[in-house]
Amino acid sequence: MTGQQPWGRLSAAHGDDGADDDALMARVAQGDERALRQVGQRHYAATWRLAKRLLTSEAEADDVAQEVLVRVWNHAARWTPGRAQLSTWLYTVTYRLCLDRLRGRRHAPLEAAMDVADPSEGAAETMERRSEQRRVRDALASLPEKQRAALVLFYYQEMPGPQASAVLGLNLRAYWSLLYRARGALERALTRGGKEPFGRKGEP
Amino acid sequence: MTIEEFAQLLAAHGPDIDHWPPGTRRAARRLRAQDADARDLWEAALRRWAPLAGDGLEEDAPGAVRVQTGIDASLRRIRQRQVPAPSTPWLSWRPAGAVFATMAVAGWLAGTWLTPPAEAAAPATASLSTLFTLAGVGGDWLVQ
Repeated sequence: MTGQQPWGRLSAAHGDDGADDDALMARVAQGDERALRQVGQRHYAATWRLAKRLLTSEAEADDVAQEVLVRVWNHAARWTPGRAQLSTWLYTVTYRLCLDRLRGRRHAPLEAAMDVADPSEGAAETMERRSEQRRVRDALASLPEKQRAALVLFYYQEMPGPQASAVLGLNLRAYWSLLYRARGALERALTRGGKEPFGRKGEP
Repeated sequence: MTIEEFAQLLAAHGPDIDHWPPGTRRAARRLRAQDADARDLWEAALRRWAPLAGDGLEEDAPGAVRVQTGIDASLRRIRQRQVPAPSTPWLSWRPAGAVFATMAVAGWLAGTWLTPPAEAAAPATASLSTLFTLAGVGGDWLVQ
């Protein structure tokens, strides 16, 4: 296990000595900051992306991804090698931190409200593409947190079902069912937003 | 059901097993639950079958600078939260102190019991008065 999961799209790390995640965690538990930096080089980008998708805010994604690394430091001594993949645990922590923020959120983040198209691009198709992207993002953001997370993990993070279900704390069958419900909800949200649905509804 | 049959049905009907021929659904679900290859095939079809439209975040990965800044910030948080344990060197002297105090009490008791009474007729405040006189405090007011 090296932590280089294809579904994590993990960043290539400079200064990575190739140690597996369990060995790195053992070093982190002994207070080795270089080992923590290596964990960060491998996994920070993936956790940031997940947080960004769930929270739709770069600033909050930064905050969550940093907090995840702090949790790594604090929990490294309790890490059991071979029991789980580090990346799955990191996604789980990220998801829970995002969930806490989403539940505590009272207003849409200011950053999202200020996300306007760059007038310098000018071209009509650019504006149209951005408008389309905005509709998808809004539709995604309108879903309940669990449904949004199920879609993000499967379609954006390209995580296999077993890992995604572990992150969400569900069994695989329940996860697939959630994924189908989420797809249906997203289709309806897109239809309401004037976008053609992308597939048929149904249970797996 | 074999994995080949599963793959053929998947290609013909898509990943929605509810829309597969009625006689195949139960076996297909069982195979998908038990066989990792079947599950991978089905999940791959599910991703192709309903590709989520781009939301403009695909290329929105954090750059190397952002990652590095984030890692540095995490380490700062860790250092800030690591409050050093209070220094308590006196705790290490506790056993020695306890032994010393025990010896002192034992010595005082032994001295009290072994010393013969000085003058039984002397007033109770005589020793205090002598002590104050010697110390220049002037303890005459004590002796009424």
